[in-house]
Amino acid sequence: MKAIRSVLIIGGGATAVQTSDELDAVIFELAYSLKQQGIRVILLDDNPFSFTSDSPAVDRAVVMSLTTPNLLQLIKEEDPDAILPTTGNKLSFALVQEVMETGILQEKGIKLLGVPEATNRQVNHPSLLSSTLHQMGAPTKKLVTVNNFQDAVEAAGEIGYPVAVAALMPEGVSYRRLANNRSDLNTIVTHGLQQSRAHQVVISQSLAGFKEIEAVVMRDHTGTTMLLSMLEDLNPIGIHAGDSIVVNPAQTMRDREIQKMRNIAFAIARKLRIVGVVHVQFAFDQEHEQGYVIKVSPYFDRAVLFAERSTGYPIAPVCAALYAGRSLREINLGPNFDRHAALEEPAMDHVAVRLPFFDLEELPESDVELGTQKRSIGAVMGVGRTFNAAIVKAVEAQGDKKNIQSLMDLSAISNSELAKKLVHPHANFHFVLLEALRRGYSISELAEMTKVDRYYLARFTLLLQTVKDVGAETGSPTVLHQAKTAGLCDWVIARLWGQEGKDVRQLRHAQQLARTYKEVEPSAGELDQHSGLFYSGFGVENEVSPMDSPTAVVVGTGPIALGNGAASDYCMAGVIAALKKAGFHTAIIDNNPSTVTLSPVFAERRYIEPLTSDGVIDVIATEKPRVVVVPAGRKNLIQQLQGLGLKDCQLVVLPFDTQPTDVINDDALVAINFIHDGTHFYPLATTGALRHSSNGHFMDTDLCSPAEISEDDDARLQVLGRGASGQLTSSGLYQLWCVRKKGRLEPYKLKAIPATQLAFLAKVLGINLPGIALQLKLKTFQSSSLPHWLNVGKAGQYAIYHARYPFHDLHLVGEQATAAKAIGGWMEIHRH
Amino acid sequence: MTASYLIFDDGSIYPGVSFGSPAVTFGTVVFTTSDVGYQETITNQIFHNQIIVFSQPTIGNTRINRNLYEAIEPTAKGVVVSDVAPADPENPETSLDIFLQRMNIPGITNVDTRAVVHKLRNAGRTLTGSIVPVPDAHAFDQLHATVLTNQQVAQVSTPKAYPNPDVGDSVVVVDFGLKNGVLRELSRRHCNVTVLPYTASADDILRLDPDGVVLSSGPGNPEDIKRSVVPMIQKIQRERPLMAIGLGHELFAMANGAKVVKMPIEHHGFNHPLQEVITDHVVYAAQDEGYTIDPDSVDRTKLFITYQDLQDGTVQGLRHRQYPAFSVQFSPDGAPGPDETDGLFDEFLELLHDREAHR
Repeated sequence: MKAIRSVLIIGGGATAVQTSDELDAVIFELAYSLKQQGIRVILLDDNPFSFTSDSPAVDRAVVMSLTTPNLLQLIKEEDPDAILPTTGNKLSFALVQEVMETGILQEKGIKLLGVPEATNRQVNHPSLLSSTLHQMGAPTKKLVTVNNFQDAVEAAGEIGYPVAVAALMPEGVSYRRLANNRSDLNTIVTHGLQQSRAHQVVISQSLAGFKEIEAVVMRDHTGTTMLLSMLEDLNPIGIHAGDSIVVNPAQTMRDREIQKMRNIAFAIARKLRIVGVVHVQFAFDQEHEQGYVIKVSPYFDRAVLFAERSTGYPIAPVCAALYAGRSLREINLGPNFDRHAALEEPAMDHVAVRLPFFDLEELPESDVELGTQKRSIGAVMGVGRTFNAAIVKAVEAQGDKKNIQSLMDLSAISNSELAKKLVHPHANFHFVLLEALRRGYSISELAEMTKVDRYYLARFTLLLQTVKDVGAETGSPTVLHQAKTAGLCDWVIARLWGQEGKDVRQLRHAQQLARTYKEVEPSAGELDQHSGLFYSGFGVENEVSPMDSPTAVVVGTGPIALGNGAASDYCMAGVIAALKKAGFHTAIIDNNPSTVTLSPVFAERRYIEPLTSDGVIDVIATEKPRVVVVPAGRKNLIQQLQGLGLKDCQLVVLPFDTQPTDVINDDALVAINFIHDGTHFYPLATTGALRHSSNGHFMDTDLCSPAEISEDDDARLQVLGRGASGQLTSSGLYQLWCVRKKGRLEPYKLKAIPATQLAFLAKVLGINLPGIALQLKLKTFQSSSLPHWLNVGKAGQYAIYHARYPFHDLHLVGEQATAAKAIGGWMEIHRH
Repeated sequence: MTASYLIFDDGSIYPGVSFGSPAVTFGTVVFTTSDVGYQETITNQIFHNQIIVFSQPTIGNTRINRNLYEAIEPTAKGVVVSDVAPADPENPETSLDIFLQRMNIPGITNVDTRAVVHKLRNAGRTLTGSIVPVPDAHAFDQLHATVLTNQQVAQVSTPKAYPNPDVGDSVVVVDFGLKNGVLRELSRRHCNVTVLPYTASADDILRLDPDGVVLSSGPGNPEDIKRSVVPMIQKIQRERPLMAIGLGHELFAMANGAKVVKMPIEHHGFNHPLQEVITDHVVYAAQDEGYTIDPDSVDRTKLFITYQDLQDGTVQGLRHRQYPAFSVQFSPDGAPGPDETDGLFDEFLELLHDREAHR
């Protein structure tokens, strides 16, 4: 096989509801590993919050739309040896398909990585894929197409009630309906046949209510196949897996059930000739011990990244080696891993829970019944020794006090509303389950109503008991231990005791109840391996000791929320990169399974923890850092850290999670962006607000850079910027927005550059602006490090940016497009 | 919640909470990294006289199931775990806790099992331990005074022959601590099985005129039983197709001149990559091993190595060059564990059919 010397990676594009922020982390890890193997990496992406496009992990990043013409152009320019479609969702498979049809791949001998052409085609055509599955004998949903009632009855009898009925080629909108018996069937089929232009209906087996199990499988070109994770969804089929609570490893499956699905998933990986990773979703009928394949995704997605973060098995780096043509046998993961670690199926000695994050604060209207379409914006994860500890930590990781409060109490909800929400789940379903148990529903009743496995309901009952026990004995060391083991943070315990968080901390210290840290490592302790990924518990052994000085601890920004989206993560990644460059050993605390900051290439130590004050303070006490970086939004944490009076430690507060506010005007707006180091003014670039398509105003959610202004205006902007800079009292990155009044530009608004725009500008300028924000706070900023052309702007370049909103995906109409409601962004840099 | 302690013969103590039986027992402490199938693991006779440390976070989640026993009466000496599932309030009878009480096996939960695994991994020798209510001098004295039996197979093998009739090939299974998984695989292939005690001689076996013979897995050191078993194997392999598993594999190797050595750390789990030498394929299978074949002692004129563990380099399978006989260290019947290697039972039956065809 010809060695690959260059790879073109198709990026993940703007963050959206369906495809959240997971792909940049994957691309980053892949690109970094490919580059380490001496392969030239070319990336096409239009996501302004991609850290990868700015990083030295790629040799050439082209920030342009993910379209066929752009891809073709790049192929012509770069003549890559291979093209990678597995990191850009289904869209990149569609792009590759179109590119393939031009014949250019064959003509130039460009290899497709990850999947063969035939599989690429199947991803684009679900019917091809289902017939392949059918041919190979993989169990799939039974379905029969009929054109009369008698046949429908026969088909339903064969399949077994309940059956789902859908009109084929319906006139207008038509929904699938469930028939529980023959008389239901009569009405539904008669209606369906009338609706169908073909006078046909499809009768299919209903999988609703079955367990959803997700297998993540790896395969190499020699055919070696291994199971990386078997994830279990707490919610049954009928609720999108991305909106479900997901648990790794599966908690309620028996060995032979797991082996059955493993065999099917392996057969699929073989049949599709996957080289890399594939995610196979099953509906599992536990009563009949039968799993049905419901979805096959031969590409990176949230489940794959969750598997990587929760097992400590480096999936993306291993895939990079597989893409480069190596076999799993040949992969050596370096001194931190066993020689054949890449070939060892991960074994877990902890539980990880992925909890979807719904931004109901920004979009309360999005709180509707969960169904087959994804509605969550992002996710958090919690890792613990038990399911309860893991889910409690995940709830705390959501960072919302109201949510944490719901662990203890959801009494505001009426009985009838509770019953309704049990049968028709909404966001944060786990609180409804807890409340139902609190109000005396039995486990059998709940299992019947919700199809949640009895095991989890027994777990929740135990959690309620813990909360009750803690509440009953204020200040008791025994219940304190119980509460901490269950994952409850000091704040919750304090609430239950009517105390302050610091009182609980004092009691913990008095009782010498210390957090210990365990490594998330894929051999469950069997081998001396180190992933650098940790979680806390209260076991006897601590696996962490302080690193060599100087050390910096970075507090991450948690789940992506509307407003900044992945821009906060982008900025924190820039900060870590700058800290490393300055010679710091770094540790990050974060809990978003998708964040790029948890990638192994960043911080040496990565703590998957909720960002509660007591958790963060304990990490700081363990790591003894010289610098602690905290996002400005963590007000309570900042207050507590200031109260502690950290010795020889500088607290750096950076505004990367501050919710953006709009700069909006009827007239054209332009801005000068600049660095203010306390005394001097260093201009960065000009930006212009574009007219917003929906409301006709000029808004800073839509930008171009440089601003399209005359030389005179530009000179005027510089003068105004310098003037504004002189008024500032603290150093930082700022922008002065100006409008034209009586023909002259006049100051309109001076503000810190929001995270989203920092990401945009950093790409435009090719410099690590978040890193500069850090240097300004550390007082290590040196103007000589700035490129000389900053004053004149990068010649021959024009960039545009548009915020992206989740309204369409969430079926919300009439929403105002404001910066705070953006989910992601899109940008292009044109060079002439 | 009753406090309980896992103590070791080196004096170390790990606190926890008692579950299962309150009995005080002694055993060698081993860990398993298998992450599903606790019922199958606990009921596997290979853990006779052993205290099993589960690295998986929680056990007991799917309760005790009637069709998941690997032996009716488990002979493990204890169960150590980080967390045991809460009993289902409406089905308390099927809980792991009740099961262990009935089987007189003590359990200890809320233990920092990752710390215990690290300890066992780094010990470099087999550690003996006990689960006790009070970790005092008396408990340690008792632990130090304990001498564990080396008559392990005698205690787990069936005392009497019994049949498991079906309509297919006749197979004799010699029970050294038989797992039900092996019977399940043979039943699935309609074999007419007779299980014989480990003391069965070659003549006892041949009198039943089987089409083939299976040597089961079992606990302990093969040295302790080789005197009677090795001559039996030497004769049987000449007469009938033979498949040997686990302890049976070790005895098969010894019968053909190989040496068996004790492993510094027992290996239990199913995530190691195993190389099938002839095809170069990598497979995964359930492994439970405290002894292993010294690869240098394998007489290559008689045997060849069919499988090896890529992680620790151990011999995982042998085949006889002259006779239709092969053996594997791992459990091709899974339970718990992958069934990627269950085709070995088909290979065994093919040997039977070949013999039939050439007679």
